[in-house]
Amino acid sequence: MIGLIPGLRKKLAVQGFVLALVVGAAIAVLPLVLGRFHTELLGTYLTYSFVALGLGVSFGYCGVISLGQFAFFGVGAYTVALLVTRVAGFGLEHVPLLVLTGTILAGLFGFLVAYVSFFLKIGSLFVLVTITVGILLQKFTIAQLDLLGGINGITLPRWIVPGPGGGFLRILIGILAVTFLVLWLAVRAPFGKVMAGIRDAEGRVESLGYNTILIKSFTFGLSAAAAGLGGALYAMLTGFVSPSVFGFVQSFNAVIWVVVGGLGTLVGPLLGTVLVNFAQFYLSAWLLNYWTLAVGLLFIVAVLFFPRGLVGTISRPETNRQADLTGRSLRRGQEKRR
Amino acid sequence: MDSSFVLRQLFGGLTLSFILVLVALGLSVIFGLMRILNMAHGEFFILGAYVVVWITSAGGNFWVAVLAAPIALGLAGYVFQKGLLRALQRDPNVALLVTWGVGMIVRQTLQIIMGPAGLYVLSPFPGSVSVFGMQYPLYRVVMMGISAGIFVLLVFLYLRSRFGLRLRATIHNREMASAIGINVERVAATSFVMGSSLAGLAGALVSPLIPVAPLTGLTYLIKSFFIVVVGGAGHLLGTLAGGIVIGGGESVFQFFVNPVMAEMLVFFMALVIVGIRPQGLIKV
Repeated sequence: MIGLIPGLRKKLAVQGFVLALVVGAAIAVLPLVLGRFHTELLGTYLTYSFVALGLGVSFGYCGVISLGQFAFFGVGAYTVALLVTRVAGFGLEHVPLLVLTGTILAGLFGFLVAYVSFFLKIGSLFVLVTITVGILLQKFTIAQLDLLGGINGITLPRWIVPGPGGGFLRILIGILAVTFLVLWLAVRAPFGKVMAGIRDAEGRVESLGYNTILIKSFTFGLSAAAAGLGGALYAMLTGFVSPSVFGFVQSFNAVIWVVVGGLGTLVGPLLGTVLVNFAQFYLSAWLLNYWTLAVGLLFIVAVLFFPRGLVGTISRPETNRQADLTGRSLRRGQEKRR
Repeated sequence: MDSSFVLRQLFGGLTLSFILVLVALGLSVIFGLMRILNMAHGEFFILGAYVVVWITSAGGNFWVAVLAAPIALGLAGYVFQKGLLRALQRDPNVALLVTWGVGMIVRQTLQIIMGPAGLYVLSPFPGSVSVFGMQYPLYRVVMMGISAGIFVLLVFLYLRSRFGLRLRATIHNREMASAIGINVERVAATSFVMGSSLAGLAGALVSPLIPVAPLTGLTYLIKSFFIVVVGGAGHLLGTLAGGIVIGGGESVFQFFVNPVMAEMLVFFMALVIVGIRPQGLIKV
């Protein structure tokens, strides 16, 4: 498929090479440059960026907006926490299995939520379902004092928590790179074209014989799985999960990261997450409560005037005036409306 | 479980439904007209309650505050739609995100000015009355009466006035309404102001019954959204039916399961209702 288009294979090769170079450099250099404190900080933000990456795919490429993405992050985190504390016999060699379980469970859960909602023709109101799922999961966890630890959360055993040092950050960057590659292949593949088709004109894609409900649900499941993977790694990194991991506010922050970084790209969400979070860390000490206010304003300005986000604005500034959030041409949208 | 407890629970659920319906009406009309999910609507609601807090703590009368709240929020709604509505109509996603951003700013401003803790308003009628043989706070009964009165007024406006006619026509078919000379932009703007004003009024009325905190609006926003979804967007009686189903459903489920489970059940019920009747419960 890729080979059919002349020049594309070469471009892909170049992009892949650049990606490999960046990842290699990051793995080699970052833990050395950053102190212990910043290593940990960056690690936390990188676990968040899994959520943003998934959202970047489901919102940016498929037009399925979610305001409860951290619900799936929480599912991943709690799965790992529950398995290691409530089931005996796990050791370090089982860690990949645990993380994978969290990822798959979150993905299945996301798929199910989306499939039921779209099957019931909830349409554009799906965003309400995602908010509600996040809030209900959080309340449910708080209410389950025995099994889920209630508001006190669950502390993970020491053996699973990585010690200080750059080792975990290196693994994290590696996993992030693999996830990035998988999602990148998904959006570049013919499947990605169908996704974009659903975003731009769902009715037409359906007329072509695609099962749009299934494709949208699968995309959402993929995005939820990415969030779950982030959550599983987060649980290990911090050694503690509490109901706040389902955070409603965080879920919306994720949308801000993605929009500020740039929808319709994968680098954008990644960049947006790291930049906005570091900005938050440094500026909120200085701006205190006004930080959230500033973010709200920044976000409105970004949505209204820079809908293509950081990456889109840098690469093609003129598209800010011609396209909407997901890169759809505005002129065509207006024609449709008339 | 004696019968007076059951009655009290049902009555409590009903009070909540009345308020939720008032909040949901604005959302419903805005969604029906423009397909915009106004994520800042909950903030209009809680600002109405804060207006009461401000006026009564400055020594003002409660009822003056209740009158002032819808006026103030109507003005706020006017400014909001004047400044942003045109930009919002570009794309539903943009509208969703921008109104959320506005809500976020309002919430944070309230937190900075008023603090995150819940504030309380003294009930203007501290006594209680006997309803069906049980003691019930007088203010709740008065509030339900006022809400019901407003609702009847709105139904009359919706079904019998010229504005109501234009509104229904625009919700039904925007292009056609525009073609026969209805100024759909103005209908949308007026409805937006009325919706905001109603949310403010609901907030003001409910202020003696709830802790008034910056985040309270959010909970009401989500519940009202489900009323809109269940009731069908842009239909007054549907919104009422949705309010009864959602508010009543929650208080009924609470007999059998814990509050969290009750909320979950209501959520599933809403989803299923949408699946069975995507056009809403009642279509007028």
